[in-house]
Amino acid sequence: MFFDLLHFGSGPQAVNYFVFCLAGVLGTIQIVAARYSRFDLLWFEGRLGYAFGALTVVSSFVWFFLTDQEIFIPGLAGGELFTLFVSAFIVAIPTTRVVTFAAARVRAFAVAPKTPAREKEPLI
Amino acid sequence: MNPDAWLFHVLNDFVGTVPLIDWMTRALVNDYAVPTAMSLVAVALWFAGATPEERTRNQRAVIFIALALLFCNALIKDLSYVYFRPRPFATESVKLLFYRPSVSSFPSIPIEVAFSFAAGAWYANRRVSRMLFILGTLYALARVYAGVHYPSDVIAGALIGAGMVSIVVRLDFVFVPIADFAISVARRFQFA
Repeated sequence: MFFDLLHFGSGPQAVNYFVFCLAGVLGTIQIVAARYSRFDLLWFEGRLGYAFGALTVVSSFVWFFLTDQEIFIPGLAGGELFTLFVSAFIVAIPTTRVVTFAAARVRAFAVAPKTPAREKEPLI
Repeated sequence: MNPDAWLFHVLNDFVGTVPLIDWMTRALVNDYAVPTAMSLVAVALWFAGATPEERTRNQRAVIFIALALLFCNALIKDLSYVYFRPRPFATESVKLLFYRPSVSSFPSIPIEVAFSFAAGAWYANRRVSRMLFILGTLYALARVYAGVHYPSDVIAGALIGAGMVSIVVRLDFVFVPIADFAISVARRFQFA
């Protein structure tokens, strides 16, 4: 019933807004993960995590407001904006967890000490 | 002239005087910037917290904001059936910086949303809440300055938004179990 009331229009604005929200949520999660040492969500450790998150959030705002030409004409209403934001949140969480898992594996592989090759033992 | 229209003109008559203020107003007044920024703050609250208790308190605050928004929108939708106030540009000489919305001017729905976020954040983090109240106030001023609301519209929106959060928080014996159930489901699916 709720979804019957939604009108996303024919232009790219709904897609643009979804991408804007997705990038914003991903960046916000990285800032919080860096601030509270949430290693289950963190992509980059230390200040790099903050910087990456902040840059992602700021870039998403700049990109959306510089490229979207339909901001000052009637477009998406509250219901559509809510639905797109929640959809972006739902996509962002598994994306964050998958990238976190991959990043942890890459870090573990990079710092793992190389075991010296065992010398061949004489057969006799 | 009634005080509401007088105050409206005090603000709106400045449009076109300082281009920088007009530009900042257009950046604030649209339907995307402030609501999305406040939603991102709610996402931050959802994951923030140094201890499990703090995290649970923050997550309850986000659920309370969501519930308050739901109740506010139901209330305003019902209110719009019994009372429709024309926008300022429909009855006054206005310098408009925005498009012409068609829904009732009273109360302001965007300001109700903004103040629900600000008041809900008060329950979790007062410093963040103060910042959101400042942003919400600037948003309200921008809506009047841009010519889409009377001052009483944004004041009513702010009172409804903040008041509904206050009601939800006071009825914690009803809403805390609901919030805790939602949080436990979210945690089970790794969403919290």
